[in-house]
Amino acid sequence: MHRSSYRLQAYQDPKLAKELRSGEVSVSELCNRCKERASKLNSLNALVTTTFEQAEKHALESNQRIQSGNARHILDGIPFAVKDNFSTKGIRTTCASKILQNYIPAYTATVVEKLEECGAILMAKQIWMNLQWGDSGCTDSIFGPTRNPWLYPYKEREVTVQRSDTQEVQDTDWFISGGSSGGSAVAVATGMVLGALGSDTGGSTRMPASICGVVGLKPTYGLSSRHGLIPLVNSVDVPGVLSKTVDDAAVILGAMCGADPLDSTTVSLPDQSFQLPDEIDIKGLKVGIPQEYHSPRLEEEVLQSWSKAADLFENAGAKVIPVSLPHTQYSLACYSVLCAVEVASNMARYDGIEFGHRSQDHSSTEALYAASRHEGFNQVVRGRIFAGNFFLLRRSVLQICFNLMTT
Amino acid sequence: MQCQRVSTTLACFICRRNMFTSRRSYSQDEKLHKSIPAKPTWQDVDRSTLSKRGVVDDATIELLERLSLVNFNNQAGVKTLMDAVALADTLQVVDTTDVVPMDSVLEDRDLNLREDIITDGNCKEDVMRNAALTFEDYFVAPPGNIPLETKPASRYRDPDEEDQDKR
Repeated sequence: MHRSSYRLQAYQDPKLAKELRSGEVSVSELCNRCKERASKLNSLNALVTTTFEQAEKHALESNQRIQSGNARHILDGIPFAVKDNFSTKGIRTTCASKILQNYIPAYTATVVEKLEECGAILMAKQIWMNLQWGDSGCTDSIFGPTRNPWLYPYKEREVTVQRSDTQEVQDTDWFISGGSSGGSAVAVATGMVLGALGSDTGGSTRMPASICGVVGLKPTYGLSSRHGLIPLVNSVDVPGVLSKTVDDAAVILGAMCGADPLDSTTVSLPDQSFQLPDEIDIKGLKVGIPQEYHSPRLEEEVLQSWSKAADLFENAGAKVIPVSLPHTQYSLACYSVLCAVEVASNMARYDGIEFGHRSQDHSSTEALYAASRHEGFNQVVRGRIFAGNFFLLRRSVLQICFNLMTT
Repeated sequence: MQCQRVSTTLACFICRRNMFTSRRSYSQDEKLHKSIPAKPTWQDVDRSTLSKRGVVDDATIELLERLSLVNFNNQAGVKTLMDAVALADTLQVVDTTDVVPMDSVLEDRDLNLREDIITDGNCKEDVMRNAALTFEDYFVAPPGNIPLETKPASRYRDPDEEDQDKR
């Protein structure tokens, strides 16, 4: 993929903070602008469900707080969006899959609640890959693929992508957004929202961030609560952050992290502010370069970028040294097994009885389960379930799984 | 209005700093940093030397369909499983003798426990709301204790058949 010569409007407006606080720009105006942009860029297919009415109400409340000097947090009034696997009370949460097409949760995920408590305004739920499994292009959802905005021509005064732009871009000629948090990445890259939550198991926040040219952060496991995040792999899933800059990611992370009594795998840190210092000094910092990260078929551009990063650290005063992570080449195989087994376990809850898609086959309980799951899951999800159940067979457990936990 | 330049960011709330000021373009002739290995470092794994290999035969396919309560659909689905098993087989080359298994990602930290006090409840309507079929506060299920009819795995032999179980 080549970087298009058409530049998206991706620069930062250093005056916005002052304008929001001083009242030159109101939260409602900001949210309206984001909403207009989202509507005009509809064909990028980044959003599943919009919450504009609710956002309007919250924007008014936020504006009142800011005007009276009672802003709750630096994020008060900032429009954000979340991937459609975060439960949101009263708002459809589909996981981009037929199995949850009409599911409406009765509670909100902790990390989303935390951002809303800071005053951030939820604008939309975003498209991602079908139940988070598929190719890494974010093309698998039941709502269709999400398109990378970088291919399309940018017009200074009028930000829009129309299917009639066929002179320069054929309708069938589009770039992937990366997955599985593709919708979130596209929404941030195009300015539909100013920050977004994705989830990251095996790169699902970082990959689309890389492909769409925004910051993607997978926080350390345990920092942010998974309560309300529809699980894929409980031991690896982490709510992730997508934003335009690293500073923004730090602010959002600081707002959403913390121990949660509803998620016992969360940890508390003594200092959770995640404020980045104004001047960053890394003199003497030791940065390791794992030798085994040079994998077969590594792209030349990636190799050069790796080298550039090492140069940058060294030029800034860090000590860059080679290190060894000897089991790196087995990590993908490990991941594939551990993930498959947890996916098989997590997908077992979808039987059509208590929630989710229910088939019309009522000949027996098992027939109903099988038909509902057959109709609701796509080929890729089923493949992971089979692999997981294979590895969980009695004969496989000792041979494969036990060895994996020690690798 | 200032807001016309929409693509605004949160960074305006915090001073921007630009740690990395240099810009470079890439070329294949650029010399790599001395710590970066010039060539891939992975060792090849010869799969023919692996002693224990996962077997995916007809009986396994039928068992997996029974356990998973979904069907493979076509030959490609079976092949996907075989590829996944082959990848897992490569882990045998790692010697894990005397290595204590990791049973928690948080390693040496204890999970947080809370007091055994009821903090939730009275949410029957919330719990029932998403069920497609209910009857007087009951979830409805068809008759149980009827084993699912197992279809033979040989139906996946035909590589051209797209969907063996189209419903």
